[in-house]
Amino acid sequence: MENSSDYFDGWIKTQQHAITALRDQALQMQSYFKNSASTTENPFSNWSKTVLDAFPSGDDANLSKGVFDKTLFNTEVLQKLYEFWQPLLKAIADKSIDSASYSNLTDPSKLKQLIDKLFNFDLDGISQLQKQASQFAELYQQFAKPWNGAAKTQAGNFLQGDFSQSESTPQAWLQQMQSAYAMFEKTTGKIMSVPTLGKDREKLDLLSKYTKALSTFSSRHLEYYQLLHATGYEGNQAVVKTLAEKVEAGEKFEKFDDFFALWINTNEKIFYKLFQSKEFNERRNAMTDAGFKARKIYNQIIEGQLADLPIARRSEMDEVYKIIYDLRKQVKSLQSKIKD
Amino acid sequence: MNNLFSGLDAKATLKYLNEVQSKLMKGSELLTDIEEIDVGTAAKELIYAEDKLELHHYKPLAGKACGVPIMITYALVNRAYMLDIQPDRSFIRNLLNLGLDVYMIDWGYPTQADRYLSMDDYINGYMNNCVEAVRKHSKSDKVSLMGICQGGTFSGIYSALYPEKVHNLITLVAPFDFATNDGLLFNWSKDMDIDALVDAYGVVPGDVLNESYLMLMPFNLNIKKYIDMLEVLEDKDKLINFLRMEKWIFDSPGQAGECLRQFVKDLYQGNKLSKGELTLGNKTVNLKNITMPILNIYASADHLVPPAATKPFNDLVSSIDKTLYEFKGGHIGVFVGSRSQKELAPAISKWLIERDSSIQVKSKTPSAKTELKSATKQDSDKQPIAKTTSTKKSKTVKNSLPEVFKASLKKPTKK
Repeated sequence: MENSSDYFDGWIKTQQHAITALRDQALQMQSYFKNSASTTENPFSNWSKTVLDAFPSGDDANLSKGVFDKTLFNTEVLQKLYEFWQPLLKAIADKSIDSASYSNLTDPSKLKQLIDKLFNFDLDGISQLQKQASQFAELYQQFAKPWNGAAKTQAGNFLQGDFSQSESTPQAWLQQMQSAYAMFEKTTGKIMSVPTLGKDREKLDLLSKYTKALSTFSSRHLEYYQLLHATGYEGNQAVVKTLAEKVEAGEKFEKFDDFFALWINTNEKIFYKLFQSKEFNERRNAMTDAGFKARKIYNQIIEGQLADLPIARRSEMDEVYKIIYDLRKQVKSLQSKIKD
Repeated sequence: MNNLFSGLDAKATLKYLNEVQSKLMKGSELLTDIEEIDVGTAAKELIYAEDKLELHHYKPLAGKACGVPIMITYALVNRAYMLDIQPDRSFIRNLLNLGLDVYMIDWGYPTQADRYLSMDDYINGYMNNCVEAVRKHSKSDKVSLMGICQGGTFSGIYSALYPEKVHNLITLVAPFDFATNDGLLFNWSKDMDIDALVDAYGVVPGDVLNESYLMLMPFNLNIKKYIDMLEVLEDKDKLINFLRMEKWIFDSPGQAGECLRQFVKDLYQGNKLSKGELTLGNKTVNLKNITMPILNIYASADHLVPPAATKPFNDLVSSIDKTLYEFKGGHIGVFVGSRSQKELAPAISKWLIERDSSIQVKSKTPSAKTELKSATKQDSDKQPIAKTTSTKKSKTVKNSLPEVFKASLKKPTKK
């Protein structure tokens, strides 16, 4: 490499080849999706065409260069940067680097000169920016620390858990899930709870709500099945008790069906009692309500994702159905009046 | 120590296990041989269709014994072909054999496009149009209504709104008083968030409701039934009959959201029908407008619609001629059980024939209700007993119903 210009020309050429290859690959993939459908009906073709059109055509190297020039302001800036770091890179290559040369490169006054030269930035502004970035990093660390701690504890508990016991102790799982979510909400979740602004922000907000709704549903679901599980255990205990009484009374089963009938009837009675209870009703309703809420948010997410695609969404179809329903009623009413 | 299972004979147990294995193998072969599970095979003709609804007229199987046609309205949940599930267990065929002129509504399968259908649409719209179609087709001014389960509630509401078009009203296992908590469904529905359910689905899938029905007797309906299936596994005809019931149980149409919302809110939760507060469209439903003869049939062991929800209907109407009929059995057994085929269809037919327009109805006091005790096999040789119960005092009278019935069958009356 003779000079920095050669370096950047070579770099741009490499990028040029990469883009050409990417473009060819994308065009080939696009052709797989074409079939009989027109590009307007084919979301992939539509998308890929837009993306590819944004790239420069394959033969015009200058155009490619221009695109990158614009992207990074101009190649001059890059060259200056390169020239600034070149002594260090050279020293690294020569294995002649020492603390003095490194210190020379990181001299604040020289850095200021470079930045001024490159961007004409106000150093106070940069200092402020650095301060804010530092504060954000600290804030994030503050948020993330307990969450990471909780996640670490959860993972440890999970790995050390006795899985053979987990089915009989759903409460332990429930507590783990609830504490994990509570920790998430207190920390990282706060960042996600900022007011919704803009489409992407709304989507993120919905995802956060959906996560919360799913977590609630999982908890309610576990509580519900815990009740069924406990009742099942109670049922089996009752069967065992009856068997013990039969043993004491000197009774015997003549055929297996007799035992089966005892098992079925005992359990059916105990579950019927459970189903009549207020507790069961409350837990069942809590579970189904949480499920419906999660489903509703999920539908909203899907609607948001499909908004840009050329397909009718459920809310739009519901509007159409409502119009058809109202029109049908009007037509029937008019037909009836004409008939009368 | 006594061993509970020492009573089991080892050789017999092994023999039994071998038999089970043999049944399973043969059953597997039979199951793969069965190509179609036919249901609802009684000959019928489509006489009216609207949206997803179809109204059929069944071809008569005997001379007409009753001048007034009967229109059957089934519930929106599950399919009406239950009444004609198989040729030898067909409520419809029994009614036809007894000389009745039978029409039946098939509600079809609602799709998302039907999510806005309300109770007003079903009753003031579809049902009323069907009654008009039957009147026109049969050339009869009035129609007798027979409603089953939710269809019975609909028929009751319709009769209160259009009493001039209804000659007789028969309700089978139909709820009217929703204040009770006797049945689990009634208990569960009181606190459920129906808005969340309907808003989540639009048209609520039948499987969602089916899940609740199967939970009413979880061990019997989900385990025992399939263990018992072993008994019919080798017999193709019995196996097909079993599969017919399975097909019906899981053939659950979705529920139009708005209709279900109102049914749960206004009836299960608000009990507005029995309070006289139910409104459909711009009409308030007053059950006191019901003056035609009513036959209210309930099942003593109904786990879906408890007698406490059905029996009060007789006290809510103004009819003078009202009969309360107790069927000793469960909800499904009322129209598909073998005893029902022998007992209930003839009793309904007889009741209708007695009240055909050519027959004078014997008046009773307005506050009286009649209770017919069902004839069991044991006392089939005896006279069934009709018990007339006043709200203030009771008296029991004997009724020679079988003789009357036999006589009316021997001499069918034509309008």
